[in-house]
Amino acid sequence: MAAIALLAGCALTEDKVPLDYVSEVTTPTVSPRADEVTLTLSAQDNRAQYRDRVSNKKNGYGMEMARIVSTNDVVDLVRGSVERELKAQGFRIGSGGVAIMVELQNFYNNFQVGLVTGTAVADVSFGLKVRDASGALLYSRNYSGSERIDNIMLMTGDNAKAALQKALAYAVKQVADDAALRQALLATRARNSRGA
Amino acid sequence: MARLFIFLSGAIALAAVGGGCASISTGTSQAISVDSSPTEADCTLTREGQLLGTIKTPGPVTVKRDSRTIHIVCTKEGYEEGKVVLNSRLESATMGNLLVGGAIGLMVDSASGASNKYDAQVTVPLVPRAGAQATTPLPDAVPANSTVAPVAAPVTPNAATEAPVVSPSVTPVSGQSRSRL
Repeated sequence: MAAIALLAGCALTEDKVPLDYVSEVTTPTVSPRADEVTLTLSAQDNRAQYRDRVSNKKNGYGMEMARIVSTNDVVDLVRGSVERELKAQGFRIGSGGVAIMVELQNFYNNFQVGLVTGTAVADVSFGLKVRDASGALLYSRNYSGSERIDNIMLMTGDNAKAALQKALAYAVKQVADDAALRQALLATRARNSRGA
Repeated sequence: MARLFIFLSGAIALAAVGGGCASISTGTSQAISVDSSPTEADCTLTREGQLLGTIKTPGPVTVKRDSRTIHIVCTKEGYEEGKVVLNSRLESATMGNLLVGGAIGLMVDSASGASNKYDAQVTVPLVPRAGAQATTPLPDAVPANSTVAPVAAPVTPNAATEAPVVSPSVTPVSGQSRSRL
């Protein structure tokens, strides 16, 4: 029992952390007549590296040790975060609407080793593509958020989680602040009415 | 006492000479071979919004080793913009400091960036544009530090901003990004 207790924080044991979206958007910009636009969000994993983890524990020499994984699907987490902010702006979420594809490009926290303390450096990057019913691309943009937490003593899941959640919040806030995206989505309402 | 002094002096001298195993053996920069599928795409490499280089694929780009992520954005006529993010990994040569160099070597490698490395080869997949409007060329992607973004907005110095690509019927009005790095 004592050995197990001591090994609980071992660099060789995989860390599992639940990741959440903590919004940094204080007052969402509600667009007039946004409720006339229905959005259908989906997501795909386009990460080139580290698809099976969100970070790695490291030892004092910076060597990668055990994985740090998320207990929930981070691709769905990013999609849900974007969906939440667009819904807060007044858009309707449902099937058969304007297709928004969230393409996750990176969701990783890289610990940096210092002389005495370490630093958690998280990067969350994703692309967002808006298409009409014919599949034509209406809007496309990449969003990226980074967070750095200095002076950490342990390169473990809790510190990775804190940095990743902040990075996610920054990236998604860019979506919420993207006036061109709102304009593109609202423009689909005009197109649909012309089409009708 | 004299022997101890000689031994310690020798150890310190050895550490100083061998300090920074990775800095000496692998250097502080590396080449990344960037390819795309299909080839002949224009790719831009940025790190925290700073332009590292541009290239037409396939081809190598030499970058300074660092712990920060590199964002590679590729554009090609008739294809949607493709993007890949590269995280740095530990350069295995740094482990040589366990034998020679010790803490001094680790500090040297860490400070020079030599303790990090990126994947030597990366391929950026590009998806053909679909739909009726796809035949109309969309504006090319604009590098993060470019001054010709569609409409200027306040950008933080380290922000990894990328200009939006919008169909002709929509006017882009924002290019804001945010980063705390």
